[in-house]
Parts: sequence; structure tokens; C-alpha cells
Amino acid sequence: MRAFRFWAVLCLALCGQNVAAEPLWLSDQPPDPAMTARLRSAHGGWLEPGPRGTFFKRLWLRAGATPATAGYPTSAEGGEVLLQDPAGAHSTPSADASGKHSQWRFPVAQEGFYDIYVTQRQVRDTRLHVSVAKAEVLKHSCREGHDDVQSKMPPKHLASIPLEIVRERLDEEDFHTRLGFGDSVTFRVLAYGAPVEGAEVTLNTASGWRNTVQSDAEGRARFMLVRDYFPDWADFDYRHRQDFLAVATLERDEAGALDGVPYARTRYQATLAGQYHPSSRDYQSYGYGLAIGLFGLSFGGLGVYVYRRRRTRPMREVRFDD
Amino acid sequence: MTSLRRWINGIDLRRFRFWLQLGFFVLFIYGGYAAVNLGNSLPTFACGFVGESRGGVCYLLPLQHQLSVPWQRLFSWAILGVLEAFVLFALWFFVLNKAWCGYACPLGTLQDWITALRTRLGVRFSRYREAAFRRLTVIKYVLLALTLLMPLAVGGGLLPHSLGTPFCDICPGRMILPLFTGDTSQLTVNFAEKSTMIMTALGMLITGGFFAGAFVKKRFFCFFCPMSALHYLLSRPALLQLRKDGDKCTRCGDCYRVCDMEIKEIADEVNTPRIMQDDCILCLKCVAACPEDGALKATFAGIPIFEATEQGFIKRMNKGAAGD
Repeated sequence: MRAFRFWAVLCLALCGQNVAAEPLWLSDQPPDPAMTARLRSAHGGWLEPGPRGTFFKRLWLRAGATPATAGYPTSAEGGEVLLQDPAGAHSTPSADASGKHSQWRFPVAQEGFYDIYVTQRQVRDTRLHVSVAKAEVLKHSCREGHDDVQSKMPPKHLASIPLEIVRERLDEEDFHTRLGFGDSVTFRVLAYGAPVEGAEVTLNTASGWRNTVQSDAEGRARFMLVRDYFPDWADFDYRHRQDFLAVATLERDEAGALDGVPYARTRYQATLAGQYHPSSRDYQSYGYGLAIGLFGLSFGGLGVYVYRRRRTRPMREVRFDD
Repeated sequence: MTSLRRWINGIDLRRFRFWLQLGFFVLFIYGGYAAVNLGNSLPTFACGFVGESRGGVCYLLPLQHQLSVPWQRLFSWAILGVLEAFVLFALWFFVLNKAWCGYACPLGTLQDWITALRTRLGVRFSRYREAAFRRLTVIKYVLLALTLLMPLAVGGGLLPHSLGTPFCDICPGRMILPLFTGDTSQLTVNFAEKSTMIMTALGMLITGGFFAGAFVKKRFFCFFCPMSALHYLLSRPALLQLRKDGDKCTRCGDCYRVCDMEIKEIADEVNTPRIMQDDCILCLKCVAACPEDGALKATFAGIPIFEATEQGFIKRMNKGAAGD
């Protein structure tokens, strides 16, 4: 019995350490899939309907580099929270204590992208760990129209954030654009608003494929979203949503003290999650489309030709004998 | 004033219509490049599948979207959005009435261009037999009913979500009009679901048939257009109207011969001044082809703006522009 307790305590301690060391990020996927029944699927993910046509966004803190299996830490692991709305106004949404998991809920009244940051600071092993979990949340309803989409598309950043990842937009990206397999995504790593060269940027796909590159002089890191969904064709769902997770890490020789605890170095980690889906190339066919179109054209044309030929009567000369 | 009226009544309608149609075509397909946005409630096929360059969106697309939301939402506050869009649609429509078809519709313009090509190639056009015409003219009402009922069934969970915009799935405008901006992405069959596969395949089949039909039959697709049916249901209070003075009509049949839509009543009906039929596209070719003073006229808010005159008819005949 004593040996069992020892191993149990050791396992818990190790698990706890792993959770703490794993990247923290924000996701709108609820811990209990049954919760989606009271959410509404919209451009940009799940929305929670409120009274009189209002909508709220709920985000959970996640821990783990593999989005499909990442855990949901408890509320004790929250941090400083900052929300920037599409107009650029800042606020601090309070944590929602209704569930056991760490989560935030805020109204999304404006069309466009909301940026929410959860920043945690912790000194471990004489090193300051600064973790910035960022989520870029789109609120769009087609009922609001599409008059001013392009002006709302450019990604925003904050000069007060120690390290953040910004996803650059695709060419001609709009509120309806869905990232798909084969798309190239470019991230910019910014420290207090300035591009960071040499940051280690890792892209984790839903089921754990990952690739790491160094950011260039402008802070850019570019990845291709590889196919990560291989169901049987009968089970294929073109709306299948997967999350990817970008993690940027930067070490600096910055010494100091946090709440009286000294540290010799600083390790920054920023995360940004996003959604991607099967590419339309997976399930749309030009070959069949053009073949059917040509069939319609030739069948219709031939039909008219044959109809006209059958109705053409040979000229018969009629002579009247006067 | 009299000379202005005489000038208008003697106008070369074919040329006027060509340039106006071209203008509308450019406006709806490329207007977005000049920051033109006429909204989402246009009573014409300004296709929403044309990208950012479009100058507005056909009302049928948002209407189907709005009707396909869950019933619980549709029959609460969401109905306000449906009504608002419908009022905007009606306001646009009341200005031009069915001239939206004859002058503004990009798909109609395309059919007129195909007709012009056929004329140049010397291929004769086809006409329907009267019995066939009577049967075919019903199709647009059936399509309109399906356009409204299928999204409603989607909202009620009776049909899959992918059938939320059934008419757009089969409308040749979705396939053809984006091509003018270099977008070929609609020329595909979508195998994502059985319903999308069937609808997109049907759409491509209809698109092929559209080209074949439009080549031999003037305004081929307009006989089946649910937007035309919706127009007719609202056309009575519209500002622009086509009127006929039966007392002045000699039943020469010129108006019927130039009518792209083969509306026989335009020649035969002499008792009712409101001569516009459901297939009419208000192209006004009948007015231009009529040699009798004041027998046919287009009025705007009751004021005659273009009417048949002998002088105008002769002028157009001399130019070979009375109609084709």
C-alpha cells in the first residue's frame, strides 16, 4: 500500500510538471462535446446565443501541443487577460467560474476579429516563464452584410504583449475563407510589437504532426497545412474541423525578480490556435463538372439539330396546269 | 418638349438597349472595383458568387439563406431580417418593374449576346408551339415554389443543410458569371455530400443546356426563371408599366413577331390596357416595332416615357432597327 502511494504521488507530480511545461492556448472547443448542442456554428467557430439576438464567445484554456488531445486546465491556472475588440478598444473579460475548467466568456457585438490574450508569468528553476496564449476570434454574420469586410481583415497586434503570434491573411481572404489542407500559412512573431528574428516557431496539426522553423528577419515563419484527416470516403465530412496550434518560443538573457523570486533568464512562449478543414480540392471535380456541362451542351445542341432535320420537308414543286 | 418627346419616341432602341445592358453588366460584375455596392436585395441576377468585384447581389441568394435558418429562429426575431430584405427588394423592383430582366439582368444580357452571335452566323431561331409555350411557362412558378420551400424544409430539419440554396445550385448564373472575373471554381461537381453532388451536377447540366438553348431560342432561360415569376407577383403597383390602347391596334402582329418571349397577348389583347404578361421582360421592343401612334406605350408613374409612333417606326425601319 505504501509503495502504491509512492508511485501515485510520483505520477501525479510528473503529470503536473508536464501540464505546466506544455504550451497553453485558447480554444472554443468545449471539453464536453455535448455542450455544442447549445452553441451555434458560425463563421469563425462556435457562438453562444444570448438574449435579444446577442452573441457571446466562450474560450477555454488548453494545455498540450497536440490540439486533438490537449487537456483543459482548471481555473486555478488562469492569468492576466486582455481583450481587444475589432474597433481596437481594450477590456478585461472576467473568468467564467461556471465550470471547473479555466474559461472566459465575452460578448461579441461587432463584426470582425477579436483578439484575446491570456498572459502567465511564473519563475521555475531560476528562469522566468512568460506564456502568452492568444486567440483570434472572428464574429461574422452574413445578415450584417459584407460592405466593409476588407477594412476589417488586417490582423492586429498589441505593443504591450511580450511575445505574440500574428497570422497573416491569405490573398483575397475574407470572413468566409476557410483554411484548408495544402494552404500555406504565414505567422509573424512580435515582441512588444516588434518583429523577432530567430524565434523557434512550431506548427502542430490536430493529430500531432509538427514542424519547427526559425522566424526570419521580419519575424515571419511559413508553413503548409498538411492533410491530417484520412477517413473512409463514406465517413468523409467536408465540414470536418481541426485545430492547429502555432507555438513560438524565445529565450533571452533577461534577469530580474518576480514577486521577490529572482530569475537569471527569461523564456517567452506565445501560442495561437486556428481552424482548418479539408480542402475543396479533395471533394470537388472540374473533370466531372466540365464533362457534364459538355454533355448538356452537346445533347441540347444535337437535340435541336435532329428536331430541325426531322421537321424539314423536302421541297415539292406543284405545277398548275392552266 | 414635343421635340424631345419625338426624339425619344424615335430612338434607336436596339442601340440604346445594347449600351444600357452593357452598362448594367459592367456594374454588376465589376462595380465592386469602383466601390459600387448596391446591396443584397437586387431584383436581378447580380450573382453573389462573383467575388469582391460584384456591384450587388441577387435577392434570391440571401432570401434562400434567410429561409434556411431553424424555424424557431426564423419565426422569431429573424423574420425581421427577411422582411427588411424583402422591402428593399420590392423598392428596387418597383422602380423598373420587369425591365430589370430586359435591361439589367447579366444573364439575360448574356443570352442577348448569344442571340446576336447566332444572328451573325445566320442560324435561324426557334419558337415554341403554343401548347408547349403554355406548359413551359408554368415551370418558373414551380421553381419559385421550390426555391422558397426547400430552404424552409432545411430550416425544419427535413432536408440536409447543403440544400439551403437550391436555386443557386442549379442557376447557370453561378457557373457562368464568375467566369467574367476569371473565377472558374464553380465549374465543378461537389462530391462532399450526395445532395451537393446531385445539385452541382444538375447545375452543370443546366449550364450546358443553357448555352445550347440560348443559341437557338431568344431569352431561353427567362421562361424558367423564378425571379421572373416573383417579379410578376409584385408587378401591378410598379412605376414602370407597359400599356396598350386596343382602339388604336390594327393587330398587324409586328409586336408579337419581335417579342423575344413570344407573348401572343401583346398582339391579340385589345381590351385590357395593362398588357404586361408574366413572361414579359419589358424590353420595349414591341413598342419600338409598333407603327400605330400611341397603341403601345411605356409609362413611368402614369407618365408616358416612350410610345409607339408612326414616325419613330419609320425612322427605325430605315435604320433596320425596329427589332430583330
